[in-house]
Amino acid sequence: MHSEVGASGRDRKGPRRRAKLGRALLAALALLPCLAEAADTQPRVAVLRTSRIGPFADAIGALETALRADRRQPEILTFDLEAGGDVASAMESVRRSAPAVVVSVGSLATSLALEAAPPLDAPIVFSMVLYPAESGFLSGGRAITGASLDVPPREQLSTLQRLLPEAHSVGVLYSPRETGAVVAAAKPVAERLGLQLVSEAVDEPSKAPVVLDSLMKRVDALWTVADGGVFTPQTTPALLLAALRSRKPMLGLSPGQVRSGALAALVVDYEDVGRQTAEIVGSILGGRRAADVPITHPRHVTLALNLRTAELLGVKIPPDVLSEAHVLVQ
Amino acid sequence: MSAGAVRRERNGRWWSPGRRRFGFAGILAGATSIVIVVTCAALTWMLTSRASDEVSRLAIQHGRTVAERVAAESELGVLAGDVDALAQSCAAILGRDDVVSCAVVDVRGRILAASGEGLAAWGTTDRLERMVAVVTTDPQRRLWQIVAPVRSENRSEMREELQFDALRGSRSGGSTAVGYVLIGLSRTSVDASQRRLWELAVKLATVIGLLGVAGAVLLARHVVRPMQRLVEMSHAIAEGRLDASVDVSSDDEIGTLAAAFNQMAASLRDSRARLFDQNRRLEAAVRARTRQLEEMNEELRNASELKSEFLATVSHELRTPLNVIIGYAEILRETLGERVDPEYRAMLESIERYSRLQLDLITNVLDFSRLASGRIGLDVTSFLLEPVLAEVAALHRDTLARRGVTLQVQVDPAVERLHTDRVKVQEIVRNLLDNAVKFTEHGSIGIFARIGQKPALVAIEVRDSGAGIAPEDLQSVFEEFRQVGQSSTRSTGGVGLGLAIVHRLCEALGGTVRVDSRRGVGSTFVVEIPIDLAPSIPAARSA
Repeated sequence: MHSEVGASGRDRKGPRRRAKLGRALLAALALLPCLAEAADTQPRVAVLRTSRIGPFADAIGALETALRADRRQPEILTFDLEAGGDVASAMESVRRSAPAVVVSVGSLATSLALEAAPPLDAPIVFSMVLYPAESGFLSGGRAITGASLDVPPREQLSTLQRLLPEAHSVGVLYSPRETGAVVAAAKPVAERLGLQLVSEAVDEPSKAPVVLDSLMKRVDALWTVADGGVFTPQTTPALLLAALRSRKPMLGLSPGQVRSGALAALVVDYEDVGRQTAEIVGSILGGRRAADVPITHPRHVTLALNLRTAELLGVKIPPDVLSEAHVLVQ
Repeated sequence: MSAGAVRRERNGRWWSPGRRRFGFAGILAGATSIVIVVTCAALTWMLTSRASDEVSRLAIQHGRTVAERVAAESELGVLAGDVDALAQSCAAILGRDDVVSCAVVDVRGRILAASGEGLAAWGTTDRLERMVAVVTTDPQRRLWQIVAPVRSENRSEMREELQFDALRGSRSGGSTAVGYVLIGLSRTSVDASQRRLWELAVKLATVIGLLGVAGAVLLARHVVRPMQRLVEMSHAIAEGRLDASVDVSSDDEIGTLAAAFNQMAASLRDSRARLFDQNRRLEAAVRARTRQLEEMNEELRNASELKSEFLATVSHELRTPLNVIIGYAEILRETLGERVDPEYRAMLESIERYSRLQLDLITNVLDFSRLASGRIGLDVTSFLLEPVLAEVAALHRDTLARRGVTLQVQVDPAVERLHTDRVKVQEIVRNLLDNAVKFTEHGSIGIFARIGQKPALVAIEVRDSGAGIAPEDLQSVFEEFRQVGQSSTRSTGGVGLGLAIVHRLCEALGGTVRVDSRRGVGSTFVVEIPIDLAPSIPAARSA
């Protein structure tokens, strides 16, 4: 079991917590006979994680902070899962702890939670998951909801349009198995925005740069979807380089891609995603059914820019966009 | 001494002390060694230099490969300005493959990433572009500076003026330089490798050189040893040891030469044996012939003595009656005086004159015979020369007066007393004066005495103004029985012994006589004899 609160969170919410603590102390004095019973009914939240670093750590930290602030004072039980490790044993531990809600952070943790045998009884709230529907997490009739990382295509394409007002055709690579539905859904959105979305399917990641070369000749800019069949550690630099050689702007997936040559990317506030997840957990602990709680999208999204790439491509960033963007590379 | 002993004595030495310090073996070994050492050194220098250069070239090539690899990997980082990725690329190669510094700059010269040492002096991008093709060395000569361009293709169809001006760098093929990767390659390990290479090469060359020199010495000794044996044999033969031989069994030219030497020695032995035999026979013949000659010489000596005795006897027998005739003729002339008829008186004078001439002739013959037989005795006395000359001159003064020929006798005061045979001196002067009187019909005759060409000699000179002697006769005037001017001989008388006697007497007194004459002018006879005969005449000749 793991339960901890970050020092920074404690400092930030210290006065409020002290006030709460005072109130709780008064209530405890008044309801002292009921304390034992209340302890026995304290809900448990099992947090399944596969990574402790990076965005996951940010999200989990915010999640735990938010849960501790919940009036129901859920007990947070954290379970570390490792791909290839003793997942069954971990799931058995989760089951024995009888959590009221299982929070799976990340697609891998969500997939392992859904595949647990026998199935977990508690509803599953996923967090930091891209394309949950396209990933098959919502099918199967399980009680599942969560906070996805999906920035809606409309928001992405409109951002691209703001950056590149002269762009009319936008290309995108995708693997049909992973993001075929996302791209298909994005096409009418693009049309409504007055853009032509030109998509090219990629059978396997190694062919992505070649496909991109041919695609670049037909489009004005490149949009990307988070697709493991296209972007791998090996293909990502090649795709970024191909875009730069073709002098075509790319809307990337992450700040890292922006630093490596993408013109821009929409950056999700992972802590806020954690907080979104805590809100969903709170709703379920409050008595709502998981199926009734809608899947959320990131609320706070910022634009990251690479002005060197913009200069290289001859792109003039509109001042209003530039003012609200976070410039990563001058 | 045998040939083996000679061989042991000289002992095949390739270096011989003394005036000729190095023999053929030394020169051969030295020259070969020099060639080996020089060749070894030259090859070592050349090969090691090339190997050393190759080490540098490979290191530089490797550095260039690293730089080009980093440049290829940096295209995206340079284009995107991803300094973190570029710094990571630089850091990844730092400390590996002797890379001590790495930097990535764009074409504007802006440093995008840099790590390591020695990055201060890279210069401008123009210089960087020039440095792409070459490798430079930093001022401290510790680093090689290698520059590799970061090239990028532009696959867009954008117009040139719309392109990022940072791309307006150098173009190569379809790519453009968008930046440069600068690699500082440490020379430390390469220098150490080259130093080890040189040390190994020098050691190897030294070993090879020493082996070569040792081989050259052994080869020279091997080549020269048979020649030294031949030399030793030559010395032995030169010293007369013809039994010497040389033992060289090789089939090469030296073996052939040794065989020729042995054959030559055998031939010399045979020749010397034959020569000894002929010499013995020749010596026997010479001894026999010498005995014959000695016998003949003895016979001749006996015959000469017999002849001299005969002449002395005959002369004595002839002089006795002549003296009687002369004596009686003088008595008759003096006794009869003016009483005799002038005709008879003239006949008495003729008898007396011719008898005297005959007596002189016989006396000369007798004297010459005595001189020729070697039985001449010397009576050395001390005397004044002038009276002697005056006596001789007095003999002919009347005769010459009748002819109108003047006679002068003059003795240099430096000539004082002689210590020699007075009679012989007087006889010499008398013969010379007789000769002068005989051939001088007019003019003058002079007898002069002075110190000779040497202070110990006295020169007596008899000078006349007679007919003179032809040049062709000057060589024979002192020979016996030779008279020059045969036509005048009969008119002057004599048998040609006067000057021969003079010559013999001069020799007997340890002196010389010479003549200087011109036809029609006169003759001058000069006699030079020792003033003091005693020290110069051996006792045997005085006996």
